[in-house]
Amino acid sequence: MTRAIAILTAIAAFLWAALPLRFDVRGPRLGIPALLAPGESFNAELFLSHPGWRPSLEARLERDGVSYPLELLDDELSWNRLELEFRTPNEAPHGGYDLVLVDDAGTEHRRDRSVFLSPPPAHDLRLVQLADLPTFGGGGADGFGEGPGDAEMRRIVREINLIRPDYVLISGDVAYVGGWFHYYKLHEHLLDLESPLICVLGNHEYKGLAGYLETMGAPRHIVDHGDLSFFSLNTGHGRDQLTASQFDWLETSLELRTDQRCVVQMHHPLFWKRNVFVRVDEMVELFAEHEVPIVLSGHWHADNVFDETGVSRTDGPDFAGTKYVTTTAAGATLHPEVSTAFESYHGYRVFELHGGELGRYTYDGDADGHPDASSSHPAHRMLIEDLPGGGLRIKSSWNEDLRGATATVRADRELVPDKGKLLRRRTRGSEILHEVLIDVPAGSEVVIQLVEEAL
Amino acid sequence: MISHLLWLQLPFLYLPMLIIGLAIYGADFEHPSGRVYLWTPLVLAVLHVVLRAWGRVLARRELATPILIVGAALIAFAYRPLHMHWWDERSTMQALRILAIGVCSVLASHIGALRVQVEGGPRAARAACAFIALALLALSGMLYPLLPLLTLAPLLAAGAASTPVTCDEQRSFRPVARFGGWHRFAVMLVAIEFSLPLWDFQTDPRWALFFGLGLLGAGIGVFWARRAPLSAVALPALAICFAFVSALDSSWVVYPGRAVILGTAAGWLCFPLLDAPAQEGHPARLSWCTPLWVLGLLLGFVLSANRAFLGLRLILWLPLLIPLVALLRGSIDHSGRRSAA
Repeated sequence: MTRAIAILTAIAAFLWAALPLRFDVRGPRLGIPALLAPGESFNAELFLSHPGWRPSLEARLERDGVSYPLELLDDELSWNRLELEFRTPNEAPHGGYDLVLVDDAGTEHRRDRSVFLSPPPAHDLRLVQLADLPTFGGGGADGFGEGPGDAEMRRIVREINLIRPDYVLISGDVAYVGGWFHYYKLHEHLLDLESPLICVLGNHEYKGLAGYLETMGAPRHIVDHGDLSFFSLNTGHGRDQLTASQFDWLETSLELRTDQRCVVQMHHPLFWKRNVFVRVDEMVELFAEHEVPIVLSGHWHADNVFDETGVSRTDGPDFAGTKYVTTTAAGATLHPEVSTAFESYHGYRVFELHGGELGRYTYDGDADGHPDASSSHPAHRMLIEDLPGGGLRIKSSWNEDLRGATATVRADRELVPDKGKLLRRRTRGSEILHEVLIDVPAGSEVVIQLVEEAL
Repeated sequence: MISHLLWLQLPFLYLPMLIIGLAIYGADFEHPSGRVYLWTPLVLAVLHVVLRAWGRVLARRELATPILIVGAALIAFAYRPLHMHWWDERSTMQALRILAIGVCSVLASHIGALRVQVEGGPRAARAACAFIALALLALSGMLYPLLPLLTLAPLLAAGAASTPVTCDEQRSFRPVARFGGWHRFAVMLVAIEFSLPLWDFQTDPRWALFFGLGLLGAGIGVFWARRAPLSAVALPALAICFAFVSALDSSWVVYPGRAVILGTAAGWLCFPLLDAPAQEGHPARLSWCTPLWVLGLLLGFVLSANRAFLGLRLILWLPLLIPLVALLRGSIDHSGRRSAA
């Protein structure tokens, strides 16, 4: 009798507590996107409120108000996790899409910009990494209003969109306050990025971790795209910062990707001070064994580059082995005392990959025509301004040319740029976005004007 | 067994869940939720002391049954918004819900302890079965991280439906080791070790597997101790083993076998408390075991998070003190033969 009552209560309590039937899309996410070519398939992972329940769903990709239905290829239910395999439509243009799942009741479950359709990664790639973002949000009574760092972040996003890297990596400390409003604003800013975003948390995300997990997803992850793999490690917790289970996971995952080009990011640097303390030698050995070209981090709010022996290299950016790179803060307080850069400023790192080899990854801060030993690219020195009537002014204070920039010029109708090469047009609401390929020489001012197409 | 389950769920299910949540996700003490979490242990401790002093009235069925039924309903109500959700350190409502579940847990534990006394005192076999049941409840955390809290609801309902078994037979006469200070210290060391994999997995709910396996081990340990009570050799040997495994900083710490071994050690160490005849007028008590167990779990998290500091790593060698002191004191007294006549 007692047992029966206990079992019945257990079932009743569970049903009541877990009702109504619902699910949460755990992957892909904004910070852990699915990267694939149109026509390829990807997996979506659903976390179900009731084990064994298999919701019937319609799925689609959505971008700029245009929908593309997804074909369900396979599904696999494991207790309360449902893995769905979807094929993307061949006709969908390249770019970032929202994944939209519609359940029986017609409720939409949307994961913004979580699927990125793009061709397989090329031999030569451009990546941007940033860390330690400005403190945005916090305005208004509830904190969800405009905060001190919002404008700053918007400008950075615009600069990155002009650089138009193949991937953007964010290496932690995205939230210094840790409130839900902060993650809400972060999400809002990152949606404006045109490149796929891969994000990992830092130590500050442990203030309000629930907000980060809800907005950006899992604390550690791997994003694969063709022959490229991005490893994001969680070093944000405590001072040991790389637990035994995470190290095992890293070792096994690298072993499974021996033919891949691997890029690693973690918030804490591996060397010197305020670094990862435990299993450093093992990690260095592991990265060397797998010929990882670059390990990216933030945390110091300063630039620095180390070689595999932990020596800070001030003699130049080119040396053998894995480069352990620490990038300055994108918006948080600077610490010039730990920087080896020519100058301390807010910025981000632009780096190139040529096959599995690291190309240029430092900025020419001293304007001597050669990249510095450790400097990252300065933020806010590439001023971008919309001009009335369909135009854009770019004023560069960089010491080096920005080749192959993609300027987005807005207009209310289809026009052509007076300079540069029109890559494509996209419609967003009532606006038509013209994406223009153009070079921005060092210290120059470039004005792009949209004009009527000559007949 | 239900009485034992009610009694043991507080130290071995609710309190570890509270500590795991706070350790992994943290608490913001400048936020009202953080202040609720600060008050929670104090509120629960005061309630426990009050119940021990004046709570004997809860042994009455007409009082215990409605309390347990209301408690079960309150737990289900409090848990509902937590289902599928992360532990949100900045949610005051969540903190209040966790506190409410804690109050129910303390009340149920006290009722369970009184019933265990009515039944003639803790019995090893029943305690072992209770640990195995608690292991199953803890394993539910693999599905939904906070689900073990909800499993307290059916447990309380089962307690409401059951009647304590009256002591109608004499306890078998068997040697029971006295639970001394060093035993308690050893329990704390087991707890320190026990929390290492819980910290390691962080937001990955696989920590629940190790938690469940540890409790399963505790059940095995209690059964084992019936045949081979803790000896003067065993405790120092255990201490040396703990010190050794603590000092090792390699990936094998995550192996499930270790959780079972540590759980077995915990069950073995606690055996004297879990197989003791009833004492006149006293509910079954885990004595200082519960605070030291909880302190051990907390210390384990602190040490895990700060293992980078050499000084803190040295603390993990503290278990070596046990054999040393035990030898100096002329071995552990295990002559306490008692009968329940």
